[in-house]
Amino acid sequence: MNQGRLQIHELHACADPECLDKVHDLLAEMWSTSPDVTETDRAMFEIAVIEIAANIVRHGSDEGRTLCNLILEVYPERLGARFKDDGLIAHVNIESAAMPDVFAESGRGLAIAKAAVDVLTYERHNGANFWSLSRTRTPV
Amino acid sequence: MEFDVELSGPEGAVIRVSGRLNMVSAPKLRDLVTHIVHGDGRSHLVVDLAGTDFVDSSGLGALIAGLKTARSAGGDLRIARAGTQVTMVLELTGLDRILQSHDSVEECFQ
Repeated sequence: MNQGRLQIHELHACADPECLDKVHDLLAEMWSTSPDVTETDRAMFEIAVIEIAANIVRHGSDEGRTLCNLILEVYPERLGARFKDDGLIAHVNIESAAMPDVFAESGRGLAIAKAAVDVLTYERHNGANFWSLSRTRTPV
Repeated sequence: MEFDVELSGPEGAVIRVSGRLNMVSAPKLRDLVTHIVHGDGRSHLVVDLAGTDFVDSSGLGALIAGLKTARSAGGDLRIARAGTQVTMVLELTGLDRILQSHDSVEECFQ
């Protein structure tokens, strides 16, 4: 599964609004050591990762403290991200996620993430949420 | 994230957005626009995005809310100098149909 992996970056943090900056920082660290990833791939992957992170922060847990683990990976052919958190179950339907009307003020997050990567999955196991994202890299 | 407001003429204002426009800062932009439109009576707004590194769905929602607030008061909200990431997200969401970035703040007021 990890064959050919060029890089791995990991973050373990409380899923609060401040952790979004940590996710941006982790992505910046990854880009700084992966200069051959195109600007479009970076922008699309980053928006997808941030939208899922924001979703985790927004839907948290009843106890008010959600722990989240994020793994970012660079492969020759793709970029990958895997989230695991102990928050409440996310009632999402990725398949039906679509952009709302242009004048809608919310409801775009999942649709943006879905549109910006090639694979977006969500699973719930043993009281934890698992999100996986993968974007095929543009050949340079 | 910082917001800097510059008044322009009797009805206009320019909001300069620096940093990331996300779920943390977006509610502040919504409140700021409401204050400028309903508090100061200025409904011709320009959001200068030259210093905006990143926008997410919450940030887009705040821009749309601002657009609707300005239009309901008889004005408009336009955006200027959007960078690569902002432009990509506007195109990805189809919002470039109602929020087209202008090359300069001055162009927005023409």
